[in-house]
Amino acid sequence: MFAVPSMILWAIASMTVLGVLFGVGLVLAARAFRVQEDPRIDAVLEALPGLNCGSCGYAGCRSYAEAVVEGEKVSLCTAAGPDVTRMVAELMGVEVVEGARLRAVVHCSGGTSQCGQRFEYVGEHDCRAAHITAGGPKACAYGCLGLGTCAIVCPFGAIAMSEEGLPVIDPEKCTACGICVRVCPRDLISLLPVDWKIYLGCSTGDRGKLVKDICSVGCIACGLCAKKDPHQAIVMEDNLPVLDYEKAEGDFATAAEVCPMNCFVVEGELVAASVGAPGETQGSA
Amino acid sequence: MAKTMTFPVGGVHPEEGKDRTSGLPIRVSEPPGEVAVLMAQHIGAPARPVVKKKDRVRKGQLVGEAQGFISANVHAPVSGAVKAVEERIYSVTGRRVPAVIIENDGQERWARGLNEPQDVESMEPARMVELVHECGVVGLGGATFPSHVKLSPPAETPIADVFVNGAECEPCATVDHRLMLEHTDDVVDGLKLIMRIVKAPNGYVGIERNKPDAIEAFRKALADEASIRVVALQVKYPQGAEQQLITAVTGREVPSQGGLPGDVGCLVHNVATTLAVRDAIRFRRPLVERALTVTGDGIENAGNFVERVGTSVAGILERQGLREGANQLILGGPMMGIAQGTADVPLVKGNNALLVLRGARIPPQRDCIHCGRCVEHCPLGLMPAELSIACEKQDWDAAVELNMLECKECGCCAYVCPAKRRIVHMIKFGKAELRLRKARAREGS
Repeated sequence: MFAVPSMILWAIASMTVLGVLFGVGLVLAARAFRVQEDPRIDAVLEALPGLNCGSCGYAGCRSYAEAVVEGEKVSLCTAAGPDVTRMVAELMGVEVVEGARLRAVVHCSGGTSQCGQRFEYVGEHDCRAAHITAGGPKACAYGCLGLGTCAIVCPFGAIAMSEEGLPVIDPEKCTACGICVRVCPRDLISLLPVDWKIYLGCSTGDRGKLVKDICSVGCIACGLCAKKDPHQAIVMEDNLPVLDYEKAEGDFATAAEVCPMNCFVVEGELVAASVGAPGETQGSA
Repeated sequence: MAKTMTFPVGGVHPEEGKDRTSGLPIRVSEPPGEVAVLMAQHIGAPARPVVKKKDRVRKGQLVGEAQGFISANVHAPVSGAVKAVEERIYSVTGRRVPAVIIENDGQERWARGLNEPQDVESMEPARMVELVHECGVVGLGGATFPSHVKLSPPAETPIADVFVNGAECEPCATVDHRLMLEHTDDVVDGLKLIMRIVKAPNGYVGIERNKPDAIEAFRKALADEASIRVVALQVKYPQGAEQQLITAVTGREVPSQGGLPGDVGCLVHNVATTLAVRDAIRFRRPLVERALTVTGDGIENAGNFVERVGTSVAGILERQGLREGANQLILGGPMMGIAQGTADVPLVKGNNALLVLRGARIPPQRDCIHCGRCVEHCPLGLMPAELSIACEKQDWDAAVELNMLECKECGCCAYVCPAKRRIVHMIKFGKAELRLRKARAREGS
């Protein structure tokens, strides 16, 4: 009659003993094979956003945290912004020199109503694939292909495609991670400090006559901006003005005003709303 | 000799479409009033322009100098004045490259020392290769690999077998067929010269069985030649691919991972290239014109023509007449040719056919159903279905693992795919991305 309860007791007792034994074994093993790790790695990792976007140049947040502890710069995480950099710097006991915050901008304003298509493209829906197919369907060999690869790869959802088929970058969401810059087959995106409100919305390398034929907002290399710029900070190179932001301290208002083709973009808006479909090209997403 | 040969794995049988032009003799077209000679119309480094605006040039005069060993010279196809040195679209990449624009003065005056009989009997092989290099000869089958490089095999891989590739497996193209019929003896002469250069004991002329007249012509011409054999090949695409031709005839397989025909003692030249090599050696005649087939259901007057390099494709189309509804221009054949976004491109050395389709429509692509047909038909034994999926996911590492870089883009997979997947396009995309990644890694290091 007692066989059943004693069997249960035995089972409980033996499991308890085994449990204690293994427990002790694990504790001893943990002590014996303990890997020394800098506790700061975990602390830094805790402070980082944990997106593993790779914009710092490391494989993920953890490998960046390890590198920081090894002496890497604390300001590489563009994804999280200055607050995180400050936290990491505090953990590491270093000073941060705060640079200007950057955001990505698109150097093309030629949407579907400004710049046409040479042919109908039916291949892979990816700008890079379109770029290698007969030179891309866009009439302009330098302009935005509009298939939105930059918007797809943006890990922060900062890029949306407008109805005109141009990427619109939300400067608030943009962390200047630079993934879109690398992915664009036409090198149309660059990272500029947020204070620089005026930038060139064209990347052509063609001569003015050809540009005029294919795009209503393309640079025709007239050189007026270079001539009229009070800071003398614009030079013409390969049919396109090159802006020296340091020299002009980011002020290209005059150049933007005199441009007959409205190639300059001011705060995400065309200077004058006289071309194409005003307002639609660069909406605020 | 009745046995027909072929390669062992894969291949397809597309509609041939050759009947319309295979019976039409090659006609020499009027040279155009203006030519645009591209500096990059071959594999390897682009040539550097050596003339400038307003220069007078004679026919055959060097206008673009080869840069490095794997590069090719480019010559003036007409005599006249250089109108400009500016960019024009290169039909293979669709990108603009520097070009020399020459206005034809109609004089047809050759530059001094060119287009004259040379003393070939006492010529050293090294001098022959030099002439081929000087004359800017490249592979005219479409790949445009500089011929002098092929004719300079490294000492450790001697060439035993030299092939004239007369398979012309690409549908619609008939120009090699016509060249073989109209210049049989010249092709044999070219083959013998190449055999002499690389000191090869055996020569072969490989011809697909759908050209019995060409096979007959070569059998007659080679009746007393013990060292050269005519090989009748089974009609199967891509029989004219270098690797497939070598395997069909010799049973040897060109090693993968960047192996060359030279590694198995073989050297292959296309019919037109063999003729160009002969012209270079016998007459010191630079490659300034080529024969090509103009055909397709969108063309009114199809035929085979000799055209100057740099002739406007739009001009040729206008001359031959476009039919109502013509909507697709392909430079090359339907399998490996390259669809164009514009006809405003100059003819380049590699254009063996010009195809215009009417009412062409690209069907929508669906998901892979894993039927395995592409695997069955891939002449290289790859798994195109898996490759296209890896490329779709942009998992380039997986694509490399699946031997994406071995793919020759022959298009058998896309041809048989019931889901109409654009497999070759995706593989081209993958290869381009990999090249970019490698370039960036080099920059970074």
